[in-house]
Amino acid sequence: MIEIDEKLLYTRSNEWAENLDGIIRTGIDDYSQSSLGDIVHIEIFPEGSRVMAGKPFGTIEATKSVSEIHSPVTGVILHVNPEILKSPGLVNIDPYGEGWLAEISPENPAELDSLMTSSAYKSFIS
Amino acid sequence: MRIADSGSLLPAYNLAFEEYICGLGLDVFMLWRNSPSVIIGRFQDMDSEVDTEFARAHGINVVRRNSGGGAVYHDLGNVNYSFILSDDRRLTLEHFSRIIMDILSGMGVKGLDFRHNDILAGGLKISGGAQYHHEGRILHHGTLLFDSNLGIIPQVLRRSGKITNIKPLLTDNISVDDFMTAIRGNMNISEKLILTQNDYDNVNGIMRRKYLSPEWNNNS
Repeated sequence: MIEIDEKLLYTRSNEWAENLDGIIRTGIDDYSQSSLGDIVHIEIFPEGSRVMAGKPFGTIEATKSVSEIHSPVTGVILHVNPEILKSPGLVNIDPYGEGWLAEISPENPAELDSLMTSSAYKSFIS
Repeated sequence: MRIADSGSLLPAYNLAFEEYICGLGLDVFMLWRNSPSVIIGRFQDMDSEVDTEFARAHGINVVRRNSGGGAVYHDLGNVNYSFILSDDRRLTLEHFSRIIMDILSGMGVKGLDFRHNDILAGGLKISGGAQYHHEGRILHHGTLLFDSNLGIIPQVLRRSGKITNIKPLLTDNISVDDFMTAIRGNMNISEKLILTQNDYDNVNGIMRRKYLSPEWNNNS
């Protein structure tokens, strides 16, 4: 059973976004982590990097598979979660919580309007 | 779907060819072979996986690929297959492996099994697959140990499992070219991917910038 957090927004490439007082926290969703399998390695662009909405800002390696992670918004990476770099499996265990990947300062918060709500996302992946 | 042919046995060229095709947005299947080489996974540490001195002494190129997984040895007795498609999370390692297993089964290979993301025959590995997801595209590629030099593998790779070749498992005694022709026939793809000189120039550019670069291959 895929868990979808109702308070989050979602991309078509299976990332989630949460608006924390103007800072966008992002990660990959439960659907993505479960289909990837055991995550063994994560690389995220360094803090201070400018990222573009829909473009990669890192890579995840799971069971023999390397996937890019796409930014939900255009902006600058403020924080990379240091815990997921040390323990990538956190993303499997808690994709919406301890397994968050990065926090991004958005250039245009209106970009969030183009992301899917949880109910739209539920239809998208079903 | 189209069928492609890189026309090359150079590992750096073939990996660049796959990457370029991946960016074209077309659905493609291809079979290819490499001259003796070790292809290491995206994030692997080369020295931990490969006896680089042995490789150098025996003319074995070591090249890093985009996809995950472990280091594999390629030579002209090993056939590689690639599927390049629109990405879909349902296109798992098992999905593609089952397509290959059906073909091998039809050629008389007995005791096929999909285990730990590898294809086994009689409990021994004959094929391993790996994937790369990039901008809405999926590249799934895999090895097929047809008539490979198995003796050299534990010498050049620091870790190797129990493996075997496909050739002695087939009903008919066929060459590697016959094997590739049979797989292509089973895939039943009539449309060929036609590339221009500009496409080939782009492949060469990726090869030079990336797959021949020590920075990429050493992950430095």
